[in-house]
Amino acid sequence: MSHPGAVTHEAHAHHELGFLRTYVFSTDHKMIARQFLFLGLFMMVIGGILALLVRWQLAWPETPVPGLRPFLPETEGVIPPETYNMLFTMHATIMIFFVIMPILVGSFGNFLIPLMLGARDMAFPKLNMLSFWVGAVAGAVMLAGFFVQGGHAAAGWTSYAPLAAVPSYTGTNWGQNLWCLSLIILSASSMMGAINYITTAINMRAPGMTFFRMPLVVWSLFITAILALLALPILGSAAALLLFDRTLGTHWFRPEGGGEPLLWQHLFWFFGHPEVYILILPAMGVASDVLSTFSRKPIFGYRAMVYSLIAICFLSWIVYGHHMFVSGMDPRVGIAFTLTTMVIAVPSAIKTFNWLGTLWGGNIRFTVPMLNALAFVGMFVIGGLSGIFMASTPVDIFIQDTYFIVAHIHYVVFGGSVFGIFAAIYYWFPKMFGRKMNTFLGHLHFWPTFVFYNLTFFPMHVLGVGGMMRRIYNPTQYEFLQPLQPINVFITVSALLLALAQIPFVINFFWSLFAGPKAEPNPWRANTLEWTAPSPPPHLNWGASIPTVYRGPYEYSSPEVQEDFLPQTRPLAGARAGTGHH
Amino acid sequence: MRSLIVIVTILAGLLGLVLWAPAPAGAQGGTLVGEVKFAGTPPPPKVTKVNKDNEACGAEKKSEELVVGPAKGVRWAVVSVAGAKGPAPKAEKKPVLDQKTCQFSPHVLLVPAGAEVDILNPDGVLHNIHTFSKVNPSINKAQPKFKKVMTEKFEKPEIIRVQCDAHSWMAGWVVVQEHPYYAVTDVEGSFRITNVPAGKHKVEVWHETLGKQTKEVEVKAGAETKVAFELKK
Amino acid sequence: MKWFYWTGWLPENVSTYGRDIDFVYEVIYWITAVTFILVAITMITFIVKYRHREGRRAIYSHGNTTLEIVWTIVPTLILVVLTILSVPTWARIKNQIPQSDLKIKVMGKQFNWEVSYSGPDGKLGTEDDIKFDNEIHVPVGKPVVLVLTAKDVIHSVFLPNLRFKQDAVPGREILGWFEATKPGKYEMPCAELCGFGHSGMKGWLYVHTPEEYAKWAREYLGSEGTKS
Repeated sequence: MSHPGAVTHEAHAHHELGFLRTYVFSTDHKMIARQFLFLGLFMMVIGGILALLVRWQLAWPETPVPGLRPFLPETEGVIPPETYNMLFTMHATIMIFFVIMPILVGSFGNFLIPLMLGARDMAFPKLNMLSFWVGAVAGAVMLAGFFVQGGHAAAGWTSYAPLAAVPSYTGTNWGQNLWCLSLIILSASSMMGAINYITTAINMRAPGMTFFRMPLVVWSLFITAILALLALPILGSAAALLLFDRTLGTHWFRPEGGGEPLLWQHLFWFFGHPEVYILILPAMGVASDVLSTFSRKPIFGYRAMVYSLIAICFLSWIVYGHHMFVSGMDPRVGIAFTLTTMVIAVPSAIKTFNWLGTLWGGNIRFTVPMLNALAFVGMFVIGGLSGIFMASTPVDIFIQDTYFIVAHIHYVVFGGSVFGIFAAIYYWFPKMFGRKMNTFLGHLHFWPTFVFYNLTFFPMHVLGVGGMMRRIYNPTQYEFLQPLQPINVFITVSALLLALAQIPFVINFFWSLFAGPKAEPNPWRANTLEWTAPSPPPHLNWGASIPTVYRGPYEYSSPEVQEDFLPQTRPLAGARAGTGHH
Repeated sequence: MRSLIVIVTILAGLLGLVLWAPAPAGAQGGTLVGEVKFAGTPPPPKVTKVNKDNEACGAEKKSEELVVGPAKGVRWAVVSVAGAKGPAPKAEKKPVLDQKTCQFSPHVLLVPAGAEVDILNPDGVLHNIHTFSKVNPSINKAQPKFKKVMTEKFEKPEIIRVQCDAHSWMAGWVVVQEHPYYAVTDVEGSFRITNVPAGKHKVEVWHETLGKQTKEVEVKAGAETKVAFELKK
Repeated sequence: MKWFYWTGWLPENVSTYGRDIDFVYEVIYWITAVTFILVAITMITFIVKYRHREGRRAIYSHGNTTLEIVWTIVPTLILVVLTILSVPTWARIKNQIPQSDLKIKVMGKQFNWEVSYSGPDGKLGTEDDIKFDNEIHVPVGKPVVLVLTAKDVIHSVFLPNLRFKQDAVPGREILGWFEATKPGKYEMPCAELCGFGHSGMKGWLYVHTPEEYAKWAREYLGSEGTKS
């Protein structure tokens, strides 16, 4: 706990910092959060455009793409196969590493953890600043790969060896090297952030904020940070080994020198499966908080929710082999992975039922964040259920490397994480920027997005069951896929409309940033600690003293008070003051 | 003193003219002609059934790795004057490597070092240029159907194998010349190299399956010098 | 009803174990479809029934331990059953490679399948192997063993109609098998990204009647093929 005197001194000292120290090299977790958010949103535009190019080629193979002629003069605007491989590789790489992670983990993790725990900042503010700037350098290195000769990485975001380990196999040279380098740098950034989040959550909770009074958003970010701390080093190391194979003549993954191609897959997926939980857990936490707030009800089964998060944390390490069922890995190991993969569905099922339980008996208000959180639940259920098909080894023989997988991926990361991102932005924008977003534009964004999102990705299940492979450039080259081609056209048209549906969001975001109506501290009448600070909170978050916590975060419609919400920090007669942890 | 300087300068200029001026073309060179023949009975060519892109490639392809004419002439052998010095010839028109009907045409292409080659794809299917070289950088580039012409440069003298990965029978060679004295044998196995400087030379023949052979030859100015090679497997 | 019934979208199955795979698929399909419908109905009901109305207050409930136990155990049981259902089929396909005198080597290389049958010496992987590009010929009703490998990068042999998929890894020889139940010509794409020629890398599996196969084998393998 800091002394009041120290607080005013620090606040005074902060006032003296120039533009660079306030807006660029800030150590304030809120400014860093905004930086991560802008990085992520910028990258989302790039990742989205790449996806649209992929979809164009699938619907109308080998036709010129409008507006692409200046970039592809040799082919007059038609996407050649090596470029196509680069497009889907970079779409996934950018979306996973530079959109979802920076926004959910980097931005909302940074913004919310200190505020929701009653801390003035992260445990290590300078390390925090470093984690953003190292991440930004990783982003710059990744973008640089687009401009080198030979083009960017084109071996898939999973970058299997030996395809990715020998430049002449793809014809890509420095692009793939920069890809590896960027991920090595990014893993450093993630580790720095993870150390901060874990330390802050353990050590810097306000008086009365026991572990089981933390909001589920913080729990989910805390568990995510543990996963990140342990998983990202593996990615960095594997990427380094790949880089050495490409540039130094080593043979980690190259069989001609005694290397093992499957080693890459083991390393990558041992990282990769925890990684996908890193992508979804924060969104689950957001959904829990938003559902509770707008049902005006406590979250149903808070402890079960926490234990599910912890279970996912342990289980996510022992399921990765389900990505390798047909890889040549010993089939007997496949049976073990089927069991663990089936079992890991259970915590997610528990969470889903608890979200439904939260809605039951509620007094539901359909605000824009609530709509997005509801969409999250529905879409995540579909994504999770489709996973069961792939968990079964014999079914996976057919499903592996088809569009069924692509459908599953997008239901969990778009239907899950991205709707979670939208929910988080609409919910915490007033706190972050001190202004309210426009509700009408919020609806104009949500409804078309929800509709076109489903029209885009649901048919992909059908394509996959029909046998359409992933990562192919021209489905019409295959006789057995020709009857499915109209579905590809349908998906592409829906995807284009989905992209257009984002325009109200962009307008809303930027217009509200500068001209939205000013936000009061607690526009949603919510319970958690961040709503007791001004919107936006000043440096060091609270005034003279940090809040004291008297109860859990979900005391909505409590019989103890007349209002339908009861903030964590509001003392009541007979409520125990927060001295120590209890 | 000044007149001495003038005289020395003029003499130096004349000396330079004599030493460094190129020999006028044709005045001092001879012509190398000859034949490359196959010893023994040539084996029948390997035939590959075409299973892919049949509309463009046809039903089957004969390998060109050993083409022997009716008079036992070995086609596609490269005859060169070993150790001759450059410069590489200036091509009147750009060397062209065609891939029509899924076959590299010509099977062996002579390219002056530093020249650009136009690689054509009139087939309407995906081809790719995959070169295997030690001295020059390797190339592995896709040439889809709408990339009708692709241009590549070959800087250093080398005999480079070219293949198309999409069609396993497609193989060819690019011979990057460091000097002008190269020829590729025709279906009779004959070759002709003009303007070879007079004197003793080592003439080398290279064939992709039959290997190398060298012969010593004395080239007489203004005359034809005959050289015959017999290669066997 | 084909548009609704997902199994209607699966390619025609002409493989003995394909029936088992399709069965597990169908079980999972129905379980997940019913689950989804129940969840969706519940959610929509709650959203409509418990929407905000003036004067109403939400139920102040923190949960229900019994429900938590029930909805932990029931999904776990269902998923364990699905695991048990999957194991025998998987073992039959991947672990229990049958004895067969028809062993065919399939080597993936950018961007073609090099298929080898053993030559007169009866051994695969020797000089006298008979090679084909992108085509495999087999008789119907006989288990066929494929020896999969690759020359450069990882490829994957995918036979949709036979429910066969196995990665071909350079530096390894991986065994797979199938038994076709119906003559025909079946497409064989590569199912693992292998470079810019991945799309369009495909071969053909020709399943012949025994007489047609014998005829093909005489002409191309120089023998009756295998002893049935």
